[in-house]
Amino acid sequence: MTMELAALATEPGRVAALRSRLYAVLAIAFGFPDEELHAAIRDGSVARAITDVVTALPHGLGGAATLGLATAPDAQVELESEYIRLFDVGAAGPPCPLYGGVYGGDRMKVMEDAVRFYNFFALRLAPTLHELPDHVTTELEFLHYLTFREAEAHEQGVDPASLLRAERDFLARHLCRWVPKLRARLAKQTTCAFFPALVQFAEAFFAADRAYAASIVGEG
Amino acid sequence: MELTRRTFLRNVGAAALTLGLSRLEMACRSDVGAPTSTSTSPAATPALAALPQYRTWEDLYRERWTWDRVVKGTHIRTNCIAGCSWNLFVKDGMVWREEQNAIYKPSKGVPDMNPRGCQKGGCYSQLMYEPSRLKYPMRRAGERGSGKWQRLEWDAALEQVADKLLDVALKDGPDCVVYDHGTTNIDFGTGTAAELRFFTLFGATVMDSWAGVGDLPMGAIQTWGHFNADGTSDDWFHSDYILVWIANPVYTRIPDVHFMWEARYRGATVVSIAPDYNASSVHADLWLNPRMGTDAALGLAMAQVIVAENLFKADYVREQTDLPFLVREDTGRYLRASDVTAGEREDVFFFWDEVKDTPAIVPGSQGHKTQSLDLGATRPALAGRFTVTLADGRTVGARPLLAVMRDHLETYTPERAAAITGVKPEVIRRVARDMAAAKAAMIFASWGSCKHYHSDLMQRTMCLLMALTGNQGRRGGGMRVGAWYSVDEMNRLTSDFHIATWKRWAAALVPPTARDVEGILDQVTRERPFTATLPFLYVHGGLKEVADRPDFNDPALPRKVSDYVREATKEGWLRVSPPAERPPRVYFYTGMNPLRRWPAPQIVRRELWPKLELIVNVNVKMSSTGLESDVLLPAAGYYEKIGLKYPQSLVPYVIFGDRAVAPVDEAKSEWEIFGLLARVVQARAQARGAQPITDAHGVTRDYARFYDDWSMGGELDERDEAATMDRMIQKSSVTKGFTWKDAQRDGMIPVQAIGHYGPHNNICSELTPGETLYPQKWFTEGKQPWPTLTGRQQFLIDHPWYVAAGEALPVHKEPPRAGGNYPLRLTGGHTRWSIHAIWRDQRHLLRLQRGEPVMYMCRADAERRGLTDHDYVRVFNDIGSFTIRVKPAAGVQPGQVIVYHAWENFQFRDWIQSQEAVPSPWKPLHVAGGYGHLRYRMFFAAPSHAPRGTTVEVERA
Repeated sequence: MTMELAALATEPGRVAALRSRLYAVLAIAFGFPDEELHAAIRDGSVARAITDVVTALPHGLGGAATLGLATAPDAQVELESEYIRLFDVGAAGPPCPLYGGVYGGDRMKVMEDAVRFYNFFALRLAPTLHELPDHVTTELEFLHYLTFREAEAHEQGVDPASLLRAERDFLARHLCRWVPKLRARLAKQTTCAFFPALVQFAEAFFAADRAYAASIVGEG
Repeated sequence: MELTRRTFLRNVGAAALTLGLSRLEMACRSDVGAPTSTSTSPAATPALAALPQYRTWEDLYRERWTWDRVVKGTHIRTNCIAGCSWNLFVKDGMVWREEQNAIYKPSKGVPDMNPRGCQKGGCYSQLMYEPSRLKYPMRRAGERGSGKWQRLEWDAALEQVADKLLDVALKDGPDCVVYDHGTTNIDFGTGTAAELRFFTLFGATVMDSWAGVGDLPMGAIQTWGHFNADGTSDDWFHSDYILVWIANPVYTRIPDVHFMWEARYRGATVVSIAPDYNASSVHADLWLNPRMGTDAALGLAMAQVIVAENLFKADYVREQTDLPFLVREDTGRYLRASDVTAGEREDVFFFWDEVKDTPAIVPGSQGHKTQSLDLGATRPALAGRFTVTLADGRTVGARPLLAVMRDHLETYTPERAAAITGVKPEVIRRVARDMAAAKAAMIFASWGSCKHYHSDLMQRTMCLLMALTGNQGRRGGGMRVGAWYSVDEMNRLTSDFHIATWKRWAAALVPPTARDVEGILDQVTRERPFTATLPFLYVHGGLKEVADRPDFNDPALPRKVSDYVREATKEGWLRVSPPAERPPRVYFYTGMNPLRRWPAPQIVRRELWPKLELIVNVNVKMSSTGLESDVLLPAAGYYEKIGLKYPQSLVPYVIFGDRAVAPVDEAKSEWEIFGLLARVVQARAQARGAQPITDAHGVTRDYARFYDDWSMGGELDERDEAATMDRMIQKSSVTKGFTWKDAQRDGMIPVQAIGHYGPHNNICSELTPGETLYPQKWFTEGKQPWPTLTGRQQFLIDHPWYVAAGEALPVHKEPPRAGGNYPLRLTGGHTRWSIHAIWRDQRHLLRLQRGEPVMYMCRADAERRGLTDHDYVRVFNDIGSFTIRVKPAAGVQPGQVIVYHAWENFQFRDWIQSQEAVPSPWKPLHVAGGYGHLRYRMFFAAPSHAPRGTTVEVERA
């Protein structure tokens, strides 16, 4: 499904579309840093992609929030091995796993909660399970979806409140709950600038976006 | 989305926004369209109007949490001594929980087996999704252990591994590639078949880790000539007197131990013999707590009572043991045919026939033409002194071994044993008398005593008690350790030595005897590069420096350990592959975790690792050793592949697991991994024009045809694992008459037959449907000779090494001061909360214990050192030290400290784990050969890892 941004008639619809785009960008930025992503970080594509969107949003997050997002080691393998060490592999798991369920509570319950959200909105985990339901990229993809549908709703004159409430609650119950803990762990674990900058920005954006949704549909 | 993400990022300001999903996909809910939760293709994106209205999070929970399907599963490559079928509840491609699958029918007259399954199995769905999973192939990008990794595509990973395998095979010889599954990663199904077949055909050294993990009951081998002899756990119910000896089945036999307690409800007596008051002692009628390492003295005192009071079963002893055999008074050795008649055999023996009052040749010994225990009209004497004439005309006195034993046991009267063990004489007498009087008595020995330096002396004593009381090979009786049913077709696919056995078996009109098969296995061992772990580490891993220390070994040894090694090597009794002059170059291990488990791993890491050009691990998760490896290949979890849980004899069912869900990320089953690797080996060999080579054992290896051989010319296909599983089921006697579909549907197949005698299967009893199974009926009821030199349960080992070391007869010896001159003895045990290291860091299970490594210590010992609960202490000796929390505990004996099994290195402070203080010297007598059943063959008699009783001191950290 594709929508033309220029054709969006409403400001809320435009904002939702930009938010959807930002969630997609973040899902990419949190993904495995292969050569393509390493180059995109190095040449500033990631930072620009985030800055361009976030400065157009009414969230009050300026370019300062994206400092460090263009910094990566010269060699792709250095970035890759740091990503693996921090997020993917380690003794008893890596020090900063990107799975929300490991940051408190019963993880299976956390994953069930996420899947209940996905199922409620007619989604399921892809059968070739490349990521678990509580992985940051899966959760970001879900928010990309919700905000995309929200933009559609604004444009089609359908009440978007249901989607906004889900965005608010999903952020509160998942990303806003555990990403701050991830940031705290990460700060002690790496000198590589990109990942802490990404997580710091994400944390700020998730909080701001939850507040944005709540400002429209209430705190619930 | 992944493929175009840089483009996406560059075009983020573009006019169009596309909805991109890869981790999620559309699946219509029942209230917005047709239910498609199990369809394989994604549904169309629903219209906005079709989406339900979300008001609050409670809306998510208004529908019951339901499942897409329920699949039969099990923990197929876990080295746990159980077989439990589970229902796996699958939704959205994930297993969310599991429940015990209560499918077991009771045998006649005993309680049923339902339910089976423990808390480890009950939380595997959580362990499977832990962040410790390996997700994709990797190679190290820094120094070993640096934690720097680089992701590889599967093709690239397999090419790199295949190239190094070929480099080494063609330059150094294929035996310089060492394959090790450590016993941890065995399933007897397609996974094991794939990898064992791969490395056997490759000509790699196959590590024999049985003794290396401390699970080899050498005393059983010395007595019975084999050791994997056990029955079903419901047979315990038939026992009237159960000694749980150096064992803790409440921890280690969770699904089975109820049969002991149910036997107790029936009136049986349960006696726990352990230095500490453990979780099984709690349930026993009587707890005997001998001083750590003095169990042989305790057992010999019981034997003394039984013999002195003539409580033994004379008919059984006459037929089934060497106790009637005549022993020369001048040499202390058996009277042999070669002694009496020049040119006669050394493996033919005599007893004194009371009917004719003459010496008579015993039938059934290794060299006797009659392979039967049937004594006919003869009646062997069990007492007396006789005169026999030797071939040179001299006469010597000879006595039945029982008479010799009777005198020998006087050294171990209960009063004398009490001074050694600390157990009161009246208690020893009571247990001995009750055991002898019991209709059926058994010793649940398991593998606990195997982990002591003098394990053989303890087990020979246990065997002696069971033989004197006529219990070995009887229903509800005997010393029980463990055994497996054979999956014959897996064995045939696995390696060529099984093919030889198979052909012999198939061609025979009468099935070969245990002794026949042992002969085949001996021959194959000589022709193939098997190597036992501790000799391998002695030669290649630097452990010579601890194994050779006289102060770590038995002070009664008349020679240095290195002298024994030299002689054993010269005689061909001890072989190490690759030999010392050709170091190993590739170490390829699957599932296991050697730098956690091997003794003194810091020495092995220092000495062995630099010799290795490539270290490869196939594993589900990252381990302490994985961190120190070069290439990691991710294996699918137990619920992500089909498989067969190795059929341990305790359960009369073969338990299967279906592939409930797709593997996480890029993981693959071992079947697929090794099939693909075989393909790549062949392709790379062809690309470099590799010509056939002849390996060190004279076998031609043609790597340009490697996959063709692995796949049997296409009969096996790594893309169709189910076809091979079906073949195994249909062609194995244990599951004959069933198919993979049956196994998939039910999660199990009832055992149809015990399968061929072999390295894992010495059950030696045919299965009678509906009845409990007990081992060794072939000997006790079928009168087949035991596969020993004498053809009997053998209690005199008159090998010159044993005679010189004072161990010709079972004796008690103090455990050596392995570790140095320190006052405390470090012991251990398998834990309730993990199977080896696999569950050791599982969060829920950690909450059920202290959550980190802990050492239990006698309160008095702790107070003497000023230690209180939860203090950090340093545990140290001559070879290493580690830091751990201490828990003063009332149940621990003075002088003993306990660290339960398999904490990972990284769970300790500074990642220095308890094995670093464990030198584990090995008993040199265990490489003795050239004596009937005493010889090395694969998965058989070899030096054992003996961590129990290591000497240490403890101080506040």
